[in-house]
Amino acid sequence: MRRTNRINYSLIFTFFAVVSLLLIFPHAYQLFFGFNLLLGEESYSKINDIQEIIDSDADYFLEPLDFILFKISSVVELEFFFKIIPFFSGLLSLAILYMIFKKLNFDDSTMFYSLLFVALSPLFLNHSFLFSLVSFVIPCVLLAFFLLLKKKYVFSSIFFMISTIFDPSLFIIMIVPLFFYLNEKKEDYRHFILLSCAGLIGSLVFLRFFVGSVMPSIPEGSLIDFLFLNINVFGAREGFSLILLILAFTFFFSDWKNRKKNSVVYILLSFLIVSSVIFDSSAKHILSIIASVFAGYGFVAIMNMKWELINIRSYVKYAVLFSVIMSAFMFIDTTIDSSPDIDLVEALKKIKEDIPFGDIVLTNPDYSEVVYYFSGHRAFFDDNSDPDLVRFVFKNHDDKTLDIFSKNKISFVIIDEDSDALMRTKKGIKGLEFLMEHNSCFMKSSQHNSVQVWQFTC
Amino acid sequence: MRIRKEVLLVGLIFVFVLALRLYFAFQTPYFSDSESYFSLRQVESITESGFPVFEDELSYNGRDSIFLPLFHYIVSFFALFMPSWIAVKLIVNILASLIVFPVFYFVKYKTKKEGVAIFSSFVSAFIPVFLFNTVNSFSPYALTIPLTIILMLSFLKINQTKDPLIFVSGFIFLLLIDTSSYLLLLAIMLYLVFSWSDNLKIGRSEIELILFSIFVTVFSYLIIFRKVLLVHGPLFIFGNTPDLLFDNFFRNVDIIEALFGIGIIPFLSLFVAAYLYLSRTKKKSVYLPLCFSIVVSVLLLFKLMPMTLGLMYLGTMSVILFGEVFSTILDYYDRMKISYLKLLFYIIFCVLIIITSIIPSIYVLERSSLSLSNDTRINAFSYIKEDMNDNSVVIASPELGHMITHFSGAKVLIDQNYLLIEDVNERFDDMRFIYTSAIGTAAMSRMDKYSVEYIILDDSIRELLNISYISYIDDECFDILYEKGNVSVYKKKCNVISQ
Repeated sequence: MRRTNRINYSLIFTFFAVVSLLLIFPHAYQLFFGFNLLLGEESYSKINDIQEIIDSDADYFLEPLDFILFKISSVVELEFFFKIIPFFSGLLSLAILYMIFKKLNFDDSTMFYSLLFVALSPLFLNHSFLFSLVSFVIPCVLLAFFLLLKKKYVFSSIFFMISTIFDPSLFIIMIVPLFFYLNEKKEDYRHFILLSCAGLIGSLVFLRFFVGSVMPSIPEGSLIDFLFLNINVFGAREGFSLILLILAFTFFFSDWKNRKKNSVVYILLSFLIVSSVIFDSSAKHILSIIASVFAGYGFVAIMNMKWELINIRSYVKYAVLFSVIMSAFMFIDTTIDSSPDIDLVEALKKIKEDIPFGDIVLTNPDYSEVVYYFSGHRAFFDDNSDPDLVRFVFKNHDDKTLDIFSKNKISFVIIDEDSDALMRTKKGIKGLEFLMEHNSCFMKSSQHNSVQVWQFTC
Repeated sequence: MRIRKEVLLVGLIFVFVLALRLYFAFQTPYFSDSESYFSLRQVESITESGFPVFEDELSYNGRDSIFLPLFHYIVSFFALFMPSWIAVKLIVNILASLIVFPVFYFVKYKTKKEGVAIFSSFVSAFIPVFLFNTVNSFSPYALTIPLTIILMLSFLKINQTKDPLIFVSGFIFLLLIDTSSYLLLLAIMLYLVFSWSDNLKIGRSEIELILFSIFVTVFSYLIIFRKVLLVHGPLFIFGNTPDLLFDNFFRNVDIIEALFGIGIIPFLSLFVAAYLYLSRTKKKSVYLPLCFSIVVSVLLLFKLMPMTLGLMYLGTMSVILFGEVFSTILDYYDRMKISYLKLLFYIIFCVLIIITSIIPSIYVLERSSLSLSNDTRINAFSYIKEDMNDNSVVIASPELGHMITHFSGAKVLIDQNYLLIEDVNERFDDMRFIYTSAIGTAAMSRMDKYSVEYIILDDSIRELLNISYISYIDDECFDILYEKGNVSVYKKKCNVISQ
């Protein structure tokens, strides 16, 4: 017997209310525990970049986002902007998706599960929590698509142009599927010309006014490395949810008989998959949304299958929903952890009080941007530092380390629990900590719970 | 409520086997393998703090451990009411003795002959390899093997019952106790392939159940063992065993060892059943244990699973198949003119089972109490405990690692939990160098690399590295802390000054 799970508008309203709470959760969690920090190292990196542009009076920008932030910084506090934009971007994207689904006549259960899976997919959560260009691109692309469906070609072109100003690779990704789509709908060819001109103008604006690059690059490493970097369950922060991918593939195979009917979607998917691999762009996020919609279809198809063991059908339903929710909460947990530790922030503020700026701080490479943001001092190690040198400095406990400190004018060392793994040697001792405790060149400046600040005095 | 006669008989077998097991288990307060001491530490930690030791400061000078702690929690509950070592021995032996019940019901389901089922359940209590590995050690297989048989039976009945609750709950339980649950999945998949190829009807329920089980297994293990996968990739199935030890764990199948580990009659039954049911008769219920045996044999043949674990599963499946073969022989016998000699036939089989399964079992039971943990070694560890400081590191055979941390509380250079240790080969090579080097300064320099202070020389390391003594040990740089029998503990006094 085929089952249909009908839903009503109150359920949709509840859904949006719950999603709003979910999107605000990491910020609310921080406020609840009495601190108000940004999520993710990238946010601090972006603010540091903007601050540098302001300080240096530069008149060139890496990307449109820098330009917008530069202009906005004189009106609004960037920290507030960084929190509010991703939240509204997430909600707006879901609302547009809802309208798209209505326009495409999705049945209620498919619409509900598709929206749910989109909202809980790690990549969607990523751009709804952390500020990036994707927070602008996704609503623009979705709006362009919605207006295209509504046959409002001029408005659609405008939003397509805005998307390509932020991410020019979208022009390359979208142009062929757009052609096939309009051709299939037997639309006037002038609409295609209008849309392609808009996309082209957007891309040219980027290339003319911004110095960022859109060059493709072939990923290094094996297929397994690639999967580990792009699938969330293996720990990738900006990755696809494995369960949603499986559901999407389920739909893909079950829908194979309709492949001609859906050929435009498959063409778009092919472009998105290739672009996700070779461009560091928003393609991955768009792909994730499409995969989540497919997953919604796949899930409904599985639920509507003829089951002999009715209990197993229920178990599958709960197991899938549990996995998707678990995956989302694991991501939220990682996101909350990505904001700097409050003790580290206190330690950095203390350093700033003592010496306002200009010194070098040695700490975990992951903290480099946070160190500069809160203390005004540069970090000795950052994400691009030579791993061998990082290992050597943290593990070694003889005079060779002192030479490195003197030569590079390192004044402060900050260590915390996360530095333990970096410092621990085969002997089981923590190299750098051991050195600082036993060498007169180091003086403990302050301690904030597990975060220790040492000053190099020689 | 009246208890049926056959259940009472199986109950008596259970009591007899349990008594025998407990008699041998409590001959010594120690365990027969080092792994048990690792589990004992987890039980003690759970009883004290509510959590196992996932961040172990003693193993490998400090490391993260990943394991499934459900079985430890089960035993910890009982350890609240008695000393933990007693709880471990008691619970493991009770669970292992319970194997007679699932074997009885499984064979009864297949053959519909209660006598054969009782006889098979009796034989299942005396699988030498299963006895040896569960009588005096903390082995989760005491629970997983009986549970696997229950799940197999539940799976076979699913087309009639249409109720997956027992299978699903049991499978999730199995999943959280030990990773060997994947064997059951592989066996069921092969069983479905065999049934399909023989045109036997495959129920939709069976397909739904196996797909669900695969889904749950893949997802649970991806989440639990994510870190292991990230560190070791697909090679995690070999447990990151050092290259030089690989052949000890994942070794070639030794037919003689298999013959005596499983018991000659059940072992031969395996081949007879394979011949009968793969070439002549089609019987779905026999396919499942047969497919399980094939899966295990193939994995053993390609060195994809540890020998001992493989033999334990193979032994259990052989006993189930023995029931089927025995039943077939009885049917054949009934059709012959000498059917009045049936009793004699039973007696002959009993004698054969006594000679080939029970006597070897008693032998292994005796051996299990005279194994790795003997008083000489334990005394050596207590000497270290009295002499050491908090950062002392001990070097010994990996086999002794968990015992040393349990008895002395000292850090060890290497033990048998190799997962997540990225420099395991380097450590093993250094350990080998320290024991085999002829030049003291070179060996001591390696010891300094890990702050090693104590060296234990005993038969396990002599056997592993094929040495009889450490050539550079002298009075100048080493104190003999303990020397008795074949066990010596040396304490290092000198440090090598690096230029």
